[in-house]
Amino acid sequence: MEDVVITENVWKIFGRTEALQNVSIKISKGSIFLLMGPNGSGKSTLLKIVTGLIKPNRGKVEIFGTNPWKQRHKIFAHVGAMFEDHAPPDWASGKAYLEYKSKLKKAENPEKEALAVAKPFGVDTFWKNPVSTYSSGMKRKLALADAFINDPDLVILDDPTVALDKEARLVLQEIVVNRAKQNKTCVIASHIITEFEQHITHLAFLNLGQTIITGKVEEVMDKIGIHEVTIRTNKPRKAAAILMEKRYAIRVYGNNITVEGSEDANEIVKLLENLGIKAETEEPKVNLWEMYTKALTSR
Amino acid sequence: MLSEILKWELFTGKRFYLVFLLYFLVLFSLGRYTGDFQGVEWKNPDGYDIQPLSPGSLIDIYWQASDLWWFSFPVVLAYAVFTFSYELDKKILRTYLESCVKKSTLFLAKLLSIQLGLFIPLIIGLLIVYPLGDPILFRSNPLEVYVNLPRRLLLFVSMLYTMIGISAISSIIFKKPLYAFAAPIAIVYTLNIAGLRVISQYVPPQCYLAITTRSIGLVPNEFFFSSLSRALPAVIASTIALMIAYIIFIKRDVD
Repeated sequence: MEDVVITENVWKIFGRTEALQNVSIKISKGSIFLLMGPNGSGKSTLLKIVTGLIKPNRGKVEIFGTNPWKQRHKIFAHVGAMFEDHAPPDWASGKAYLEYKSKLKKAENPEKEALAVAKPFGVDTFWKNPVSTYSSGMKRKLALADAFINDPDLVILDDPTVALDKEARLVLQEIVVNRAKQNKTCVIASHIITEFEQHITHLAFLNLGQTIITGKVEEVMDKIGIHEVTIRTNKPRKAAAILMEKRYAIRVYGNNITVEGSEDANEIVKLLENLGIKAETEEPKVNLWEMYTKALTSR
Repeated sequence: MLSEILKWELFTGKRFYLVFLLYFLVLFSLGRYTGDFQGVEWKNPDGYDIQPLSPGSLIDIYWQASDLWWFSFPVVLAYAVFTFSYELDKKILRTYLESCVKKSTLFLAKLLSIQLGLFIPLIIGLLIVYPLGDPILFRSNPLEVYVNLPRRLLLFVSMLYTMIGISAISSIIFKKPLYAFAAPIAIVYTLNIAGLRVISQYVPPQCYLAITTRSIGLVPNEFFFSSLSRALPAVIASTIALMIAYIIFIKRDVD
């Protein structure tokens, strides 16, 4: 898989604060990449370095094979970004802002591009009013529309779900997932993530400016020792009793039973079926929070 | 791309209208600029005397140029600081930098927007004030008064350039708007580089034939060059300040 973003041993120092220390990550084309870490872990700083807004003190950064600090104006033809502190000018209308942004990103038909990104988030219902009259949620929707303008190959979203209503979150999730199917990449930075949990393909956990762990979700699960299989059955109580008797460590959620450890799912299904209980294996559920806390505490 | 940025900076940004308004407020709220009570010196070969005003006299009237200067330079500074200050203009700056706009294009557009944003209202202001003031003072043909305009505009070119140079570097170095604004004001007052205002001495059209040592319009003479040479250090310093501002602007993080 081709890497669209590469950072190697990146350092960023603000005064006496080491915001990033030796951060190395790779973001593959078509992936949904989660950058997770607590407040002040360096997520936004890293993304601003990747987009060429700030310069790293040390290390190598490449985005689409070019140095973002030197070629920022070129990379933004293929990149959309929404930062936590995104703030369009108050005096502009949402429509004027989106069309202008589309023009600055060299679109041939800015009006069409603006409408295409405004509609899914419902921005077109209020976009003729000045930004100063928008609520925080409306501003957030405008910012999201801005990030997706001109259908870029890579979209970088810093805390995208803050102040968004449930409907807009689902729209965002749908857009991100559909784009991934078209081999377009999305990077999401957050310290709380629920909507995307099951769609994340790659991730990196940051803490205090350092990379704790990074890679494909399955690889990360392996590295931090999360091994479990999930079985779906119509008789969860009976199945749980049997598995406990066989000394399996389990958790029961409705009709699902999660068996912890490096167990063979098919073997467990076979065991239950031999005892007259209908069972089948489930797609493993990703529990990012569990992974995250385990990664943080295991250091 | 440059034209797109300029359009947004000048018209959509509304700063243009603010400055336009300020100029007219300055020019018309102070009755001295169009009144008939100017301090006028009547010049004869033996010296200067204050004389009643009469058409055809050899008159060297300052036309309160220094007042205009002292009043307008904070406006120029404010405009320039606002344009270049990252803290004050953060939102629009981020709009540009999260797109395909080069930093060098952006710097140039900002520089041009200051020039255009200040020059347009200034020229309009002068074009209106001159014919309003002169017929009252000298009963002259309003059209003749425009002969002096090039010289007055040259003054403002130099003045603007100096102010922009100081303001650009100040607003880029100081992140706090108060410091960004206060620093150039302190420099101007301390160094009194307003020696530029000498160029704006006004000569009424009736006196052109009698004048031999004064320059009219853009026709140079010794006096004119002497005035310009006094402005030269300020212009050179501004060029250096602008170059430093450009380098910092290009190399600065946009956090």
